[in-house]
Order: sequence, then structure tokens, then C-alpha cells
Amino acid sequence: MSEEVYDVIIVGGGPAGLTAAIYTARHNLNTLVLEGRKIGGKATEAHWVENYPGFPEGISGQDLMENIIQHALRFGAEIRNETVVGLSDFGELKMVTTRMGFYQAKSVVVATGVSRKSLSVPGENEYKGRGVSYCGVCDGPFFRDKTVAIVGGGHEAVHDIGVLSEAAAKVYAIPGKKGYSDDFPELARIKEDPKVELIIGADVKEIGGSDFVEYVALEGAGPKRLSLDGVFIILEHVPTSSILGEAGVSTDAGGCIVVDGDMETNIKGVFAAGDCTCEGMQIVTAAGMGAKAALSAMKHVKSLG
Amino acid sequence: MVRLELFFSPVCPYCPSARKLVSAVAERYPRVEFVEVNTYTEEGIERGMSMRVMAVPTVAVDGEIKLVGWPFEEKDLVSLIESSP
Repeated sequence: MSEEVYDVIIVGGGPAGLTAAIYTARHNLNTLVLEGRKIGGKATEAHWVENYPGFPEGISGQDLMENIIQHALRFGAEIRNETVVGLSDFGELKMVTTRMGFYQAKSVVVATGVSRKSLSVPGENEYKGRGVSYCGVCDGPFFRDKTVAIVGGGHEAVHDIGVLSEAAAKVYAIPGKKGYSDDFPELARIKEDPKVELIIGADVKEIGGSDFVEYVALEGAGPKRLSLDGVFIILEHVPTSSILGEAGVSTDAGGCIVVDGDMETNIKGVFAAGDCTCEGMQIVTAAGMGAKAALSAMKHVKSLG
Repeated sequence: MVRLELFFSPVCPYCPSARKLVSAVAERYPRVEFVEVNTYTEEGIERGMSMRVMAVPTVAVDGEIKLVGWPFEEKDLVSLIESSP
């Protein structure tokens, strides 16, 4: 175990975590960011971000997050590519366990974000890379002049309908029995697109074919089977807060971390920010929450003397 | 000679990691001809579609798809190269 006691350990290297790191490191708090996957988080997957303030022409998610990473490093934040597997509360000291070892800190900011949800239907795993995809902009070009389905009712799914309809010959939009989660402005244009057919009131129950995807089977209203070449699964995400059980951090029924107005959880000195709280779910709101959590963490560390 | 092709796209979030790994491994084997195929070019997408590539990143060895998606392990890539005639 490292003997060093950090002022703040930030679990998660996405917009919330890195913004928190900018704030705490800039105020000379000894700051460690731990990120097990890609540093920069899910935001790096955004092809083009048009709604982050300060970039009127837009910016790629990759470039935006690279800027934010450099910003945190500039103020002396330490960033390590380690997967956090546990969090323990020992009163004034918190212990964060990774696959590489243990770290101690006076405060912790949990900014673990969300992870992609799978459809969990027969055929989904078998046809990954052979017609099943989770990224419209990445794999869409391979479905030029072909027939595809976009499964999902969130904004990302709606966005990908627009992306796929440029290349594909036909797009089935399948939001699921719950429908689209909001009245997205893009939906009006999509409904006018002759290439797009909305399948309302049905869920995918199976993905099938031979060597490659050839059909999806549906249950609910409308057709029972659609012949197609690709299925893009773009589902709403769930928060990745599985490390919290040991420390006793409270989450709601959906697994979202519960915080007060100061971004503090039910454990004193443990804060949470960003998508793992299920609030906002935007890069800018995650950054804002990261800053707020950092300010609260700084106040907490100061109170310890 | 072993032809190692890595299909990638400039907007794929996992492709930078795949490109870094594959190019580092390929460099260790003089008999490997390493080709990066950008699927956001006409030539690249045609090459991919002719081989039934459907996702990025994809690794093909001598024209056969071997690894699809990310992550994949360095040891799997090394095994593919070393077992190729």
C-alpha cells in the first residue's frame, strides 16, 4: 500500500472527474485521478460536440477531452490508468482499492459515469461484429446501401438514425415499447425521411441469421420479423457504481448515486458527480457537477485541519 | 510475408488504442507487411466491404478476418502472426 495520503482521490477520468481534478489541483490539493478504461471517458466517443460552451463551431469529443486532460495535468493532477475495485470508509481516511494496490485519501469524488446497456437477447453476442454494432458513426459506412435497424429510444439512438440514413438504403427505427424518451427535434426530420420506417410499440426479442445478421424478431405491435443486414444497439445507459457497496454509499432504485446540494453522498467526505448521479447526462453538466464536488471536497479537507 | 491489415475509422473511439498496439507489435516482425485501412475513404470501405468487415477496429491476416472489436490482447495478435505460414 502506498504510504502517501492524497487530499482527494477522484474515481473516474471523464468530464466530471477531470474537472474536479482541475479545481482541486489548482488549489494545491494533492490530487489523484484513477480511470480504468479510456481516460476522458465516454465523452471521447462523441463524434462531434456542438453544445459545449466555448466551441461555437463544435469540437470532437476526443479533442475536447484531450484539452480537459491537459488542463488537469497542467495544475499537477496525477492521473493513473488503474481500475478501481473498491472503496472503504475509515472516517477521516478513505481507502480506494485498485487492481494494482491501495490508495488513501482524505476525500473521494466518485465520477464513474455510465456504461452501455446491452439488449440481452439471443443472437446479440453471437453476431457482434457480424451485423451487430454499438456505434453508428464507427460502423455505419459498412452498411452502405443495406438495410439496418437502430434499436434505442434515447438521443444517441435518434442521432444515429440520421447518421445511418445517409449511407443505408433503409433504416428501421425501433425505440422499444417505451418509445422515445423525449420529443427530440431531430425526430420531426426523421419522420419525413422516406428511407426511415418507425416501428412503434415493439421490442426486439431475437437477432438471427447465418454467418451474418439476416433478421430481427420482434414482439409487440407491428411486424414480427424484419429482414435486414445490421442492427445498431444504442440503448440508455446505467450508472457504473458497483464499487460503492462496501463503503455503504447510497444509491436509488436505478443505481444512481444519491447526493445532496453539495454533491456529498451519505458518507462524509465522499462526493459524487456526473452521469453516475443520473443528473443532466451532458458533458457540460458533468463538468459543472465535478467543479461543485471539488469545491465541497476542498472545504471538507480544510475542515480536517 | 504476412499481410496484417487493421481496419479503422478516424471517428472510432477505440481505434487509436488498437492502432497503437497493432503497429507496435507489427514493428517487431520484419516479415509482417502492416497496412492500416481507413474505412472513411472510398478505397478503405470498398476493401472492407469486399471482405465482409462490419466493425472497426478489425484485424485481418492474409485476407482473413481474425479479430473484431476492442479490446483484444497483444498475445492473441502475436499468436496470429507467429502461427501464419
